[in-house]
Order: sequence, then C-alpha cells, then structure tokens
Amino acid sequence: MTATTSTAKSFFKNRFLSDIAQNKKILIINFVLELLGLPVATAIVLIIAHLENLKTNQSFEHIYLMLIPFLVLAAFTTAVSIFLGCVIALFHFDYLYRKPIVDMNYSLPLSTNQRFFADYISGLLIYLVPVFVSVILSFMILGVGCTIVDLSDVSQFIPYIIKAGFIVIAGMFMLYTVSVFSISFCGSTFEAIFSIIAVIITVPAAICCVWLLIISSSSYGMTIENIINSPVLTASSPIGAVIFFCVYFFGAMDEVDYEGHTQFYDSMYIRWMAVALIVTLIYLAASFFLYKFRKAEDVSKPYVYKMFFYVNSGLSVFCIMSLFIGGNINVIPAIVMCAVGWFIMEVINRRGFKRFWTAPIGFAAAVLSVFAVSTLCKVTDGFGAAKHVPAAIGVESVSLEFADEKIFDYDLNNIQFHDRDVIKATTEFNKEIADRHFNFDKYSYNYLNQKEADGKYGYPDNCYHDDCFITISYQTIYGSTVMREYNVPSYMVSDLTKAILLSDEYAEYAANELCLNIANNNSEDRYYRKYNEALKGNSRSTLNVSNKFMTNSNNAVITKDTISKIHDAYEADLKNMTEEDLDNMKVYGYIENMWILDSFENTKTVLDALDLSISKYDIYDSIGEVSQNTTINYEPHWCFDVKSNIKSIESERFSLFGYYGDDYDEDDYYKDRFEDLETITVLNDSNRYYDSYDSYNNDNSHIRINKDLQKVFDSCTPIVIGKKPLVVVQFRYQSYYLVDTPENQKILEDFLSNRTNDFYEYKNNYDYDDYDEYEYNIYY
Amino acid sequence: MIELKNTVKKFDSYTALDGVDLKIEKGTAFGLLGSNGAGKSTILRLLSGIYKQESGEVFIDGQPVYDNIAVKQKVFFINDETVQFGGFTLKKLKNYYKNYYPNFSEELFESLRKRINLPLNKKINTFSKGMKRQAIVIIALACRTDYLLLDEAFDGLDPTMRIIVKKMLVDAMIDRQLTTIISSHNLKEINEVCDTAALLHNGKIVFSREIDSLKGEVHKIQVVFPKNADGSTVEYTKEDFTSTGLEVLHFERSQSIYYIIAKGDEDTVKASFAPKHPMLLEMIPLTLEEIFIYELEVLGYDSNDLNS
Repeated sequence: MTATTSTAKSFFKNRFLSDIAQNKKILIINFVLELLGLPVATAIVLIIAHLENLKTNQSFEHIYLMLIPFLVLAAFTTAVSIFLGCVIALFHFDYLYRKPIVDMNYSLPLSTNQRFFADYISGLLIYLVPVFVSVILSFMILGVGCTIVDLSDVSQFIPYIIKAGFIVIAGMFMLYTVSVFSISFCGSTFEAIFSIIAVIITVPAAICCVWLLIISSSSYGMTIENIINSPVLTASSPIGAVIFFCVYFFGAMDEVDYEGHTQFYDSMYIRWMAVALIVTLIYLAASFFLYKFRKAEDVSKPYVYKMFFYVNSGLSVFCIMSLFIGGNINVIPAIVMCAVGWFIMEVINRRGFKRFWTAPIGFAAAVLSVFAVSTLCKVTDGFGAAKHVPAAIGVESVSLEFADEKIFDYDLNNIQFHDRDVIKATTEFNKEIADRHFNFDKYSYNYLNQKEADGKYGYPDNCYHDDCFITISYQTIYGSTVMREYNVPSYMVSDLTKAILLSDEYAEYAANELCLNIANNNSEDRYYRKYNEALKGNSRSTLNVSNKFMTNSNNAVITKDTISKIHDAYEADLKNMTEEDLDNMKVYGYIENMWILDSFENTKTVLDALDLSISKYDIYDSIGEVSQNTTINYEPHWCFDVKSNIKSIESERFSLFGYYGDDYDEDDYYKDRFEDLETITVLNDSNRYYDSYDSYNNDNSHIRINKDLQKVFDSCTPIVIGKKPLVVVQFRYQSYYLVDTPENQKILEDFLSNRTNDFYEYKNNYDYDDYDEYEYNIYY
Repeated sequence: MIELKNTVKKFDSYTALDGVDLKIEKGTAFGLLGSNGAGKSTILRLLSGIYKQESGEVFIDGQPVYDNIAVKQKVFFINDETVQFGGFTLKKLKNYYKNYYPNFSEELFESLRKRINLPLNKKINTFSKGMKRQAIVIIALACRTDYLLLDEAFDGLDPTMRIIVKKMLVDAMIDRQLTTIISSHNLKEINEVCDTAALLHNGKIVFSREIDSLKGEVHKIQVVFPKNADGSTVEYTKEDFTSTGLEVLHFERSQSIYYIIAKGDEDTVKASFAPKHPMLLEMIPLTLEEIFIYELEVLGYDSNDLNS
C-alpha cells in the first residue's frame, strides 16, 4: 500500500492554550510570588531613598527595621519563583514520567514536534510572563516614585540594573530548559526530580573541578578566579548564571560608581548573553531530540537514555575525586566514598540487583576516567592553560594589581588600560615570565650562593628581598576575562611600569586621584569618592606641597577651580612625560603624595601662581647639620627567590625563622635559589623599612651633613625603574637611591674617600670582620 | 480501513508483536481477543499513534499512523485505565478533548451524558470506576471520530450500564459507520458487540474473521461409535481422526463418548466421521469463549498446563 500524506489542522495552538488552562494554578502562584518580589523591593528602595534624601537628624532606624522583613519576603518569593522553573517543567512534561497519562497525551492528534514545542513554550510563558509583569510593575512604581523621590544618585545604575535583570531572565530561561532537558532522559518521577538537581549541580561542579585539576597540575600564574570569569562555567548552567549575575552586578556597579560607565562589563554582558542563549538553545535542541526519539513505552523506566545516568554519576565521581587529587590528598577515601554512592545509585537505577556485576565495571571506568583526565592535565600542562597568554590584538583592556605599594598602589586595578602599549607590555611580560617557568633552563640567573656570600653580605636575609606580586586581568575583545598572577623580581616589570606611566589613562587616573585627595582635605570634612563628584562641591580644600624629602611642606587653601587647574596641569605633564624623564626620574617634589618631576612645567606654573614653589624650600634647612633617622647603605643587595617563584611553585616559601625539618640542609636549600639582582624597580618606597632585616636602632643615630653627602642627597631619587642603585639613603621612612651612572659613581667615590673616622661610627651588632663591606650608620 | 502489514513491535528484547498482518474494514465492530500479553493493547496503541512499530507498516485509510495528525484526528483511544482523568471535571475533560477533535458534538455529548446522568462539574476522581469509564466513552463518542479503539472497554461497568454503553456504541456504528475495535477478555461482550474478531497469541494472529463464520467453522462434536463384535468399546485416538484430514483442536473420551472440537465446515466434519459409522453424532455450536480456549490450547496455552 502506498502511503499518502494528507494535510490536517494543526492543534499546536489548542495544545498550547490547553496547557495554560491546565496549569492555571501554578501561573497564579507564580504571579503572586513575583508580585511580592521585585515590586515590593522597588517600593522599599524608594522609601529608603526618600528617607535618605530628607537629610534630617531624625533617626529612621525603626522604619528600616520594619522594612527588613519585607525585603526578606521579597528575596524569598523571588527565589521561590525562580525555583518554580523546575516545577513548571515537571508539570508540563509529566507524561514523560507518569505512566497513566502517556496514552492520553500521545494519542492526541498532535505531531511530536507540536506537542513538544506547545508544552515547552506554554511552560516557559507561565514561568516568565509573571516576571515581565513584575518588572513592568516595578518600573511603574519607580516612575511614580521618581516624581516624589529624588533618584538622581542612583539613576546611572538603572541601565545596569535592567541588564542584570535580563541576566536573571536568561538564567531562568536556562533553568527551565535544563529542567526540560533533564526530564527528557528520565522515565520515572524520582529520576526526573533527581536528574534536574543533578544536572544543575554536576555541570558547573565538573567544570570547576576540571579547572582545579588544571591548576593543580600546572598552576603557574593561574588563579582560581579565572573560573569565575570563564563563560564555560557561567554560561553553561543556571548556577553559572547566578555566579555571572554576582560578578556582573557587583563588578559593573563598582565600575559605574567609579568611572560612571563600564565598557568592559558591557562587552562581557553581551558576550555572556549570547553564549548563554546559545547554550540554552543547545539544551533545548538536545531536549527536543531526546524527546523526539524516546518512545512512549519507555515511561516508567528510571532512565530512558541510560547514558545520562552514567554521565551524571561519572561527573559526581569526577568532582569528588578531583577535589582529592587537586588537593594532593590521599584518594583512597574518595574512591571508597564514591563507590558507596555509585552502588546506591545503581541499586536505585536498577530497582534491585539485576545484572549488578556490571555496576563495578561502570564505577571502575568512571574512576579510571578521572585519573585519565588528571594525567592528561599533567601531561599537557593543564591543557596548556598556564602557557596561554592572550594575543595583544585580542585584548580589549587590561587591569593590573600590584600587591605591594612599592610600585603602584592597589588602586591601580581600578583602571582598565586600553592603551595598546600597556597591553603589549603586559602580554610581553606575561609571555616572558611563562617562558621563564616552562623553559627554565633557557634563562640564566646570577645566583646568590650561600658559601660565596658568607662573610660578604651573608645570608639572603641580609639582602633586600625584592618581590613584586602582580595580578593581571585581561579583558578580551570577546568579553572574556583571563587572569594571571605572578611573583617576580621588580626589574621584570620595569618595561610594563614605564608603559603604564607613559599612558594617557594613567595620567588621567593619577590626576584624578591627586585632585580627589586634595578635595578630600576640605573644611567641611566631606568625603568624596570620585573626582567628578568633588568638582560639584563648593567646599574649599587645603593643598599640601613638599620637597623631595617631604620636609618643609607648605599649604594653601584653594577652591575647586584651582583644584581643576592643578588637575589639568598635572594630567598634561604626565601625558607629556617622556621615557627619558622616566630614566632620569628627577623628582622635584610632592603634591599630597604624588610626585612631580623637574619636567612638570605646567604643574610648577600653577604652584608658582599659588606661591607654593617648592624650589625655595631647601632640604638642608630642615635637616640641619645633623640628622636622626638617616641610614646609608653603600653596598645594597637585592635578591629574589627564583626557585620558589619561577622554577617551581613551592607552597612553603623561604621563612626567616621557620622550621625546615630534621633533614634540612642549609647548603642544599640555598643552592640555586636566590638571584642576586642587578637592577630594581621602585616607585614608592615610603612604607619600606630597609633596615628591618637587621637590628639597627636608628633612633639615636645622627648624620652630619657635609658637602659630599649633600651631593648624594641631591642626586638620589625615590623612583628607580629598571636601574641599579649604588646607594640606598633612607631618610625618615622614605628611601632614596643613587642610581648607577658615571656621574653618580663619582659622587659616591668623593663621598666615600672624604669620610673621616670621627664622622661616622660603625655599630657592629653582628661581629662581622669586614666592616667596610657592610652597612654603616653615620652619625655624629 | 485499518491495515497492519508484517508489523513487529518490540519492548527492549521482548517481542510484543511478531509480524502481524491484520485488515479491518471500515464500519466493522472488531474484537481483539487474546491471552494476557498477547499484544492486543499494543495493536491498539500502534493504531492510535502512541507506539511506533519497529518494522512493518500500520495504516489507517491508507496513511501511516505514527506522528500523522490527519490520521490521529480520526482515531480516539480509550485505554484500560481511568486514573489519568482524576484531576478533571467532566466538563474540563470534555473541553480538553474538544480542543483536538473538530467534529466534537456538544449536542451528542449532552444527550449521552443525560442518558447516563453524569455530573458535569464534579471532579472525576470522586466518580466510581464505572462512572469514569462512562465519562470517557461519552466523550469519545461525542468526538465523532471514524475509529474508536477501546481497551477493556466494559471493565467496571455494572450490567445495566454495560447494556447502555453497548447501545451507545451500536448506535454510533449504525449512525455514522463508526469502526470500533474492542479488546476485551470478556468474550461474551465481544460476541455481543463485534461482528469480526481476531485472536492473538504470543504476538501473532491466530485467526481473524467474522464471528459468525468463526462459530460455523469450529464445532463441538459428541460422537458414539458402535461396539466391536465382542462387545468391547471401539478405541480411537486423536490421530485416527486427524489422519482423515480433520483439524482437531481438542480430543477427549469418556467411556464410549468422544468429545471432539474440530475445525471445518459442518458437512466436511460430518463427512470425515462417516467412514467410522457413528451411532450418534451431535454437533453443538461453540461459544466464542470455547473457541478462544480451544484455539489457545492448540497453541499450548492450556489452563491445565499452566496450573501444573
């Protein structure tokens, strides 16, 4: 018989409407929950904003306390309404796991496609329409509220709050779809519910655990924060969406608060939304295919597609075991724990012990696969993740954090550097340091050998330890973030430091920071968080200027117009700064805590106009003939623990007073460990105590200022970028360096040759024989 | 017309239908008989598009059934359970099905409902099993489909209600040439309602034909043969009859009386006994139930064997 096809009325719409009608109750519940969520929270925000705007001395504590339960209720109802995604999916596809209703659904005049999509879409609408209604209602409340309450302070956040709202909606879309996906491979109620929970948890957990294995096998420069920023995690599961929501919401809010806008978070948002949507559609497509190819008679089987049971169980085993492997913990307890869990699940899945001999085979395969992935991570150096450095061309911006104020302060990470030179310098630095780790033998280091050092400048604790802990965040043009962190000697970041200092973005940032500090020295004791905010105020501020040695400071009360002039002048000077300026680093003085170079003509002009010229303050006027708290180190040495920080990553770092164990061999420990550094990079040494490694008490030390020493003082600088210092002069809490140039060598020679014994006295606390080689305290 | 061609349906490794060939003409009241697990419900689910056959073809009006909206629109399937309707009221259930069957007749539904006096707005889970059955049957009839498939249709109905429901079905068959396929273990009901029946066993069709011709083809014969010259009873075995070409389904002897169930038309059967000159030969018509039992006995589905 030849089959003929005939056209028929489509009942898609009928099914869709019928689904809505059948699930009316859950729709109403969802509406109630949603209406108690965001609209209530919006109303509370309006009330709080209104009370804050009143600016009276009256305390509203009792009102705030009264509002807290409503906020909790709003959060709770929102959480429950989000969770309803799973419940709605279970209700709409109940015929996939409830035997009695299979015939009733499958016998209807609907094609598989029509039935699936009618059920899917009706469920999605029941889930999301109340959300949209609640959002619209919240905006109406906000709109009405705006006419009563001044919301100008928060208006800049509104676009980002809306975007965050869309992240929630995308996450809900994904949660519902993942639930449908999970149901589509199950055939019984328990497995359907269990699988939803399992898929929601195991997918992100497995991704995190792969990352953990990568880090544990090749952790050089890798940070766990990478995973939080990875779309592989955040866009692949509803839990990932929650993580992304937090990262985006708090990150973007911070940046908007700081800069008034955020370019990176915008591209991050677009990228995440696109990836999350694609992943959700993949889940949907997978659900559809599983649905299409499953048979009606499969209902009541625990798993229609058994593979998913093993995938889920395998991922759970993988997660538990990788925690142990990644943490270098004995895996036997993990294997036992997993085995118990595995066999319990097998008994549930098989509804007994039918062909149970296959269960250990499955478990063994799962365990072996964990070891295989772990080994693969080790063999491939974490799939090459640690070696990977984003190409400069693919980097939109980079943010850098120096965890030590001696180069830049922590606030530098507030800047997103878009400057191509900074990005290039960062990637070059990153490539070099990664190469130094992975091809360690390619590079040579001038090691500080303990035996050679003995009697010269001694153990590494007699050197200045020069560590620079840097965290790099690349924001790629694709909206992803790649993070790396390294501990390196400061000379390695000298090119990067120069690139930062020469960038316009740094100039803008530094000028803003400077003027914000000035503005916060205001008479009204008002604290501004941003420079732009400060410009709106009318208060007068005190400007402090000081010379290179931070003595003889002077101040003036200035208006915001003057602050603005200083800002523009300082920014222009920084922008005009050349590499040559950085090499010489002739510091003219300080405004607040920011240095001014001799070449900063614009700034100097503004200060002259305020009669705050620094040049007239002579350092020696304040120091006088003798000075306390001055230390001069003629032969400074810096060292860096190459073995722990570049060759390998040792958890137990060198400790001055630590216990190394009975088999500790000092010679072995020091062998090829510390690099004797030639050059260093220092921008800010105000908080560094160079004499902290020894027991010198400088309180009673005095220094006589003679002509030669004045030359040393005149020529030294607090800023060194990739240069070798000949002498470290520590004055009060600030260090100054006489860098290695022919002129400076002459100055040092003159100073040393003209010393007289009654001019200085060596305080021999260590009983070293060779006094001249060691540090001198010069006092009267 | 319904047609199954060499249809195979498997549930994992279990073969529920093993190359079934079946034709059901339009307007027929067709009874599906068979032992438990013979494949009756499987055939109904294949015809209603719930299951998809592994191989072979399932056609209704010349079109494949599975995933075919046009065909499924012509078919209404009532399975042997009623729990699925629990959450509905009769009105809601009616509206649910009305959505999918464009020929649904409100008037017919109302008239049928009034005949059996079912409440419209009460939850069906408060109904008795019989009432639930009545509810779905009147909805099915009101859908006015060309084909009505009933799995254990009269299960739970009291005798009066059975008559009413049967009458409803018969009326529909007469009024609009409704093709009804009824699977039931209650052979009496099949006998009463159906004009054609098929017997299934182990996923295969044992026979499929009109019930009247079926009844005319299987006979219960009581036969007594004259004694031997010495006064002893003549002893025949089953083979003595089968060797003459008679298809014997059942053979039993008590003293001098032989009880034989045999297939074939009446004259042929009688003729096959003639050479043995029976003293008494009585042909008793068989009930459908007896045919069912004896046919299955031949296939090894014997209640005595099963008990042992």
